[in-house]
Amino acid sequence: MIDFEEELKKFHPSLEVKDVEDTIHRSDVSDMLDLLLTMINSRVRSPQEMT
Amino acid sequence: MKCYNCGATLSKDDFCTACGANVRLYKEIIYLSNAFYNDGLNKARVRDLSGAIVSLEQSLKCNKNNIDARNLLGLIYFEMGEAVSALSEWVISKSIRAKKNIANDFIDEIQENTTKLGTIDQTIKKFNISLEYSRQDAEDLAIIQLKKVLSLNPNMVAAYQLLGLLYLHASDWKKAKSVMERAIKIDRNNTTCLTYLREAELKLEGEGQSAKPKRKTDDSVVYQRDNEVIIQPLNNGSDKRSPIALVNVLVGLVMGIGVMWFLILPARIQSARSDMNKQLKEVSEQLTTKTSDIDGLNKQIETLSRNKAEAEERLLEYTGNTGVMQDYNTLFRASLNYIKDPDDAVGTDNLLREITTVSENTASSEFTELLNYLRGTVTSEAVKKVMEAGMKAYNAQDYVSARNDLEQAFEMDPKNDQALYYLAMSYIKSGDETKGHDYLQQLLINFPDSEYKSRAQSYIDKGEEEEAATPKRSRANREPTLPPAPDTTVDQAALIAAQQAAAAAAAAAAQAQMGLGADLSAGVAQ
Repeated sequence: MIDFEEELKKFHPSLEVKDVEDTIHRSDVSDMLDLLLTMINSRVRSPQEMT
Repeated sequence: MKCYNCGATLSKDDFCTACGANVRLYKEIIYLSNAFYNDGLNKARVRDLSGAIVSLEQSLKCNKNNIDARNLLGLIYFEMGEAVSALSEWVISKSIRAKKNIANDFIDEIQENTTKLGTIDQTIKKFNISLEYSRQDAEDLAIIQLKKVLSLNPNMVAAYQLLGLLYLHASDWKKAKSVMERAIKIDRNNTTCLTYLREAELKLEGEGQSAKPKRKTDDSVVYQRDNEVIIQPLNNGSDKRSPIALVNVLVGLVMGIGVMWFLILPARIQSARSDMNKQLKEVSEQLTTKTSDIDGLNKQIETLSRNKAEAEERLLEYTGNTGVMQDYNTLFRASLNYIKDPDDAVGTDNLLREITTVSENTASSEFTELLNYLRGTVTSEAVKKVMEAGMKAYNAQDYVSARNDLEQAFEMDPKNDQALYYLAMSYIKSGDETKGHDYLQQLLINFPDSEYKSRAQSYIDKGEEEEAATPKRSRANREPTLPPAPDTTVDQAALIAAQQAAAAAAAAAAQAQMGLGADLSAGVAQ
């Protein structure tokens, strides 16, 4: 049995055309490669600090 | 694949041959992103759009610079009616790689069709409004808005889902099922759509929506399907009804014919009659007009015929054997005869006698003058000669010849009592006593003072000629007295005058003939 209210909560308003710019700006998130590079860069600096 | 450190092209080794950086994890992440992309592509090919979105998002989480995955994701969003999400993905893709990127074509296609873009924006707004209505328990309004959205953007899966949910909430299982089936055609493995569809089917099965008859009457079966009550008539006893139906048809036919016969047909007949009468009246009027025209023309014809006859008659007077022209010719001949042989008084007089009295009255003055002149000149001489011949024949006892001559003499000179007497005696002596007695009576009546009266009376009384009993030589041999003859010498001036008169008479005759011709022409033209 479907709960109407619960199901209704799953629906979100669709993006309008005027929201395209904001959407694009917000989409610039880090991916796994960015995390890997961050990790690599941090690991490179750490051994130097230890020494 | 480029090295993340120096940008050199990587080989199969796990390190960069240019800078020596360890690229094993880097490569694995790239490979993982590609694997997710492939999975998303395969799902998209079988219309599992929701699954493809999940895979592609995973691919982009691994490598946000995966152009292919981003472009495909935008394409899937657009197919599902999420145009703004699609547009954002393509723009990002274009920013990562501006050239040789299919995202440029997608963006250009949307931007060129501004109408479509406006429509898409409108549908999104309506969807958001309907979502708001749904949250405010205005489900009917939400349904109306969603129907409009789907009419404008038939691929918007979210609208189908919301509409299906609303139908389920309204217990409209059939419509919910229908809507979900349409959504599944777009996104085959959409979990939400499948869930709603399953719910609708369960509800439909639970309420027993097969076609079971609820009640049955003698002539129909009544059952309910969905929210409708269906009454299906049975075909029992159809055979018994066919004769009744036929009778009903016949009765209807008869009634129809009756209505037409008594109501419609008389009106049509009356209308036709009035039209015919109207036409008949018009024709009669035309006929009357034509008849009067014909009568007028006939009268004209009669008048013209009459005029023509009169003109011909007048022409005949001038040109006929007894016409004026003929008399003019006769006068010419008489004049010529007189000129050639003045002594032939008898011949000239005979010609002059051919001239009729009508011509004397209608002829010119010159004609009359010449005629009178010739008669005055010739007639007395002619009478004298004829008398001489007659008496000579009488004395010679040639009574037949004497009769002819004396008769001619009397015609020439009706006042000659001597000619009449001897004419009578010639008839008597030639055996025609009746005629002779008639002439004697004529003498007694017309010539009371004649010297031959006593002799005539004596013969009538006694039956014999008084002169025969006591012949008197002097009387018997006495030459008939004739009236004094005018001077018969040919008068040249008179001849010239006669010729001129004849010419003038001929000209007058010709003019008269021309006038007659003009009259005839004028009569025909009328």
